[in-house]
Amino acid sequence: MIELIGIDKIYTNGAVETPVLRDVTFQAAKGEMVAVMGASGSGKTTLMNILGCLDAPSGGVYKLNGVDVFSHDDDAISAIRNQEIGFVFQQANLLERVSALDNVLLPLIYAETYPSGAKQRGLAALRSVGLEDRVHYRPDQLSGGQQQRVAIARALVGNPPLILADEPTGNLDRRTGLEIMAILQKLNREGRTILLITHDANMAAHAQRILTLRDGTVTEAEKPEAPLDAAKELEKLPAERGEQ
Amino acid sequence: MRYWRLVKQSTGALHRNRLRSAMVILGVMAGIGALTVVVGITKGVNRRVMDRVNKFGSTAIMLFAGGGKNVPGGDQSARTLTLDDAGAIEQQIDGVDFVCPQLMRPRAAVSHRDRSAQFAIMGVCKRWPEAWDWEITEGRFFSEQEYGSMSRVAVIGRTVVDELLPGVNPVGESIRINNANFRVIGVLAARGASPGGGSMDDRIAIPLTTAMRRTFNVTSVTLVRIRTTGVDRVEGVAAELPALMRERHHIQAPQPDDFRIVTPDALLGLAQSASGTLNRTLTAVTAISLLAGGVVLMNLMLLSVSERRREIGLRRAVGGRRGDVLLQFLFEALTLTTVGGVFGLILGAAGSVVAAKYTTSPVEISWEPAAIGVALSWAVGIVFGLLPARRASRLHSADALR
Repeated sequence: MIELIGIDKIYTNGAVETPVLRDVTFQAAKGEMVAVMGASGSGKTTLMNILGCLDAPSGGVYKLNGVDVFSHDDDAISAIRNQEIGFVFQQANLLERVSALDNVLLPLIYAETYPSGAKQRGLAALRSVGLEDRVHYRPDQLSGGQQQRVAIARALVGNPPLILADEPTGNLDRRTGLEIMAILQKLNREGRTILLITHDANMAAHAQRILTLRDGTVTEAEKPEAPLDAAKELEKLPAERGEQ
Repeated sequence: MRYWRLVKQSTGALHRNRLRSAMVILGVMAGIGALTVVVGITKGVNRRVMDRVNKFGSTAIMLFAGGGKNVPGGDQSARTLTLDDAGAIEQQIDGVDFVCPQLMRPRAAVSHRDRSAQFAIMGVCKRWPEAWDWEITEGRFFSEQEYGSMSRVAVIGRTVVDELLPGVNPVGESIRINNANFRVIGVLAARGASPGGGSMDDRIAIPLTTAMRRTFNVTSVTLVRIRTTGVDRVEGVAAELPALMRERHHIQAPQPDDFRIVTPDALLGLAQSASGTLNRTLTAVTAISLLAGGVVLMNLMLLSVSERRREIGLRRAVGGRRGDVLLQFLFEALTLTTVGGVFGLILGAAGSVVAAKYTTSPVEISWEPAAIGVALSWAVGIVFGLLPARRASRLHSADALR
């Protein structure tokens, strides 16, 4: 599914060259849930941008589903993002004053052909994140966790094989964060490849594999024990406040 | 389909920034509104110019007594232009059909019973209605016999009827001009403004013989209207006139002429240069206001682009191509300028109506400003929206999302 071979990234600012990624090589198989962990400044965001086909590496090859992404032109790469990748960012990045449903449908607008059952797909995506009763709410009428769930639904609507989640729980409290994590784990059980980028070991522990990014280089952590199950953790939390 | 959905989203963004959108709309509206009024005034003025030239007569030349540069209008004090001059022109210049000498007195006291007012008196030749293509609507023009016998008869303009003889059948009435009784025998058809701009209906025509010998006691005339045999002869006759007149008035080269010649072409040129100045001024005003609207648009769009970096980054992340982002922002700009343009047209049409009502300048409302206005507002949208749209499309998606 994902294959990174010797990825380098060097930022050049005038004469100063700052290497951020050095010879990053790893693979993730289809259906895996992989976490990339790193402290801030370790190159996480840079790696995320490359994995998301948003930024080209300085060297190396990135193959997504066997396709050498950065050998294509910008329009083709846009199409790859549209077809292959669902993004979940730290911030939900929803369009203001646009309903949850219309936010979810955004990727479909940029699809080569707008699917005929688009609305049904949008509704199904919202249902899978538990927001079927918030379809017509606007972002400012939704809580942070709900907004993030809309963002997940938006990532799902095009039915991409890869979900790229960059600190998806970074702005949320523990309970809400676990709720989001539970949704991601559910999607993973349904067969989607999930790449989770985080600095939070507690969240990374929900993945089947954990990679550590340090000083621009990735190392495979020791095989963790069985990954945590966010749904079960939620049950253990005291049910003090119902966020919804 | 893909683009239609983009378009729908653009309008949402404009709605979100209502105040900003309103400012752009206002800017373009002012420009297009000004344009609409300008085109209306220009067309109206042009039509008035053509009307005046038509009234002047395309085959006529006017010879005025007195030198100087002011056109038209005779110098009332000049005493040099005579009936003999008129006769010589008729006989000696090829292409002259006939001439009609005329004496003008711009103000004379005229009264009827207890009403009195000041009107222009014209002493006119026998063939005057023909020379001016001026019809008599009531009664008749004076006869050869009345002309020869210096009769005190008058043909009066429409304004004279309205001011001096309201509600009276003027034909047969007696009026006093310079304390002499004249019998009204006819009424002139209303003619409106003269090429000089004044009304041509507050005039009274009396036989030239009567005017020269009995009323004003002069031996010179104010002007000679020369009818040529055709439009193609006007230029030739006008070219020969000065030499003949200088010879007759013994004017040597460095001395200034004591007469002026007005041709339809000269009149047209004069009027056009006047309306041209007006045109250029108003066009400049329009261009400046459109430019201002465009600059406002560009600035606000640039602001909008930097504010919406995240949105742009997101759109790129979910698969939007550079072209899609460019189109979206360009479309937003176009929507604003088109709305501004349409409002501007409405404003301009209303302005034209008001201008036509409260000023002397004639205003014509037509479809051209609408077409030009819409085209221009699109042009403003594209020209000034392109830079912000390009900037949006070139935003690095990874940076924009940070």
